[in-house]
Amino acid sequence: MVGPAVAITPFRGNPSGEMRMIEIRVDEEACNGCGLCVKDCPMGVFELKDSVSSPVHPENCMGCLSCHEICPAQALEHRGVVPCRRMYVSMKVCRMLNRVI
Amino acid sequence: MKIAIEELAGCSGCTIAVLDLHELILDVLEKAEIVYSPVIMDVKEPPEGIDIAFVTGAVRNAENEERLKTIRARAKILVALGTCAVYGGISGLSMLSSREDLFNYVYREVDTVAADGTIPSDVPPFLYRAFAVGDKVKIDYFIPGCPPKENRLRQILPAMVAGDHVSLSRKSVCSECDRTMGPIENWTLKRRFEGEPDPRYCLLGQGYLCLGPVTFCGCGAACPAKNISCHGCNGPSLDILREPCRDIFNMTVRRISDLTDRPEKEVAAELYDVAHTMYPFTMGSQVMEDKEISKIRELIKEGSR
Repeated sequence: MVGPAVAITPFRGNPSGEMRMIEIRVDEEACNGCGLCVKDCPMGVFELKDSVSSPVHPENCMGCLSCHEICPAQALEHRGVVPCRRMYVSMKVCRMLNRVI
Repeated sequence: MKIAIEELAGCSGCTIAVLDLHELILDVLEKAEIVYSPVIMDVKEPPEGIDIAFVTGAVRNAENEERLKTIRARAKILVALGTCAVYGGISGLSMLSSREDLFNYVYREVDTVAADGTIPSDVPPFLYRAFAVGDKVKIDYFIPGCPPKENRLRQILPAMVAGDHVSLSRKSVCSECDRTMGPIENWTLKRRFEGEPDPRYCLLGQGYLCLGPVTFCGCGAACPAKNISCHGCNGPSLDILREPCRDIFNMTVRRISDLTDRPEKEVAAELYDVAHTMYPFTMGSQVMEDKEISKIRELIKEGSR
């Protein structure tokens, strides 16, 4: 496991003095309770509660989006993540759709 | 408002799906007139000045290509309707055979062939491959589905005719599926005819190859609701479309591997008949084929040898 301090550093420096956290939302209707986010998260952010994923330690999230990537139901939404991964969006698809999806 | 529905290499099921609006089609027809549709009316050529044209089916031969270009030129808005138009669909599977084999199968080895073996001279030649319509001309909207399901079209078509936009879910089939993940013990890959799946639990977790996680929603998870695993007829989910490093095959393998704690390579080796289980609806799409990790290129090469 990676130490949390390293991962959270980029989000320090909020004027209010608080550490800004990534906000994680779970679409409970969509979630199938497969537990892949629990298994894949390197920071132990998620737990299953009554067969629905719950972000019990959002403060540990380092924004790697592994959970987002593996979720079969696309039930997870992150706010406050610097979307560096989106640099690899396929421009061919976006041009065909006239928008960045 | 003039509407047209053009048929290319497809089964015309998508046009029937439009008729499946039932009574709602009367509301649509109050505001719009269907001026051309070979399946439901006898008009030979699309007129000029079409407002919304739907095109169903893939582009497989020279006639399909010509018709697609004509309808594009005569329509203000062109909509790819159904998975064949959007991703090549079932017609794309034709690339598993050589053009010569296809021609022989369809025109020479049938009972109805002329006694002297004459082939009609007006048979349009095959293109070198199948194409999704978006690979050939500019498309304004894409509606996947084999066919697009009635409930989805009920939301889309009236809004489109009224010039409105609707906001619809863009998640995967799993998001619409009522199953939950069951216990995963002694996981082995099962063919569809083996055993009977427990209707409460996730089919993938039970060993059935379900494409729900990698498939775009819009069907209400109709097949899993009937205890049949998803075979991906809506085409790939948006995350797969969007990101070049994700593909139907590798994301399915990754999820099985993560669920079962088995190495990805072992899982990948166990998958059978990849063309028909993973890519039955997307083989004709150049967007899907162009991904570096896509298996489509090698499958086409093997098949057409």
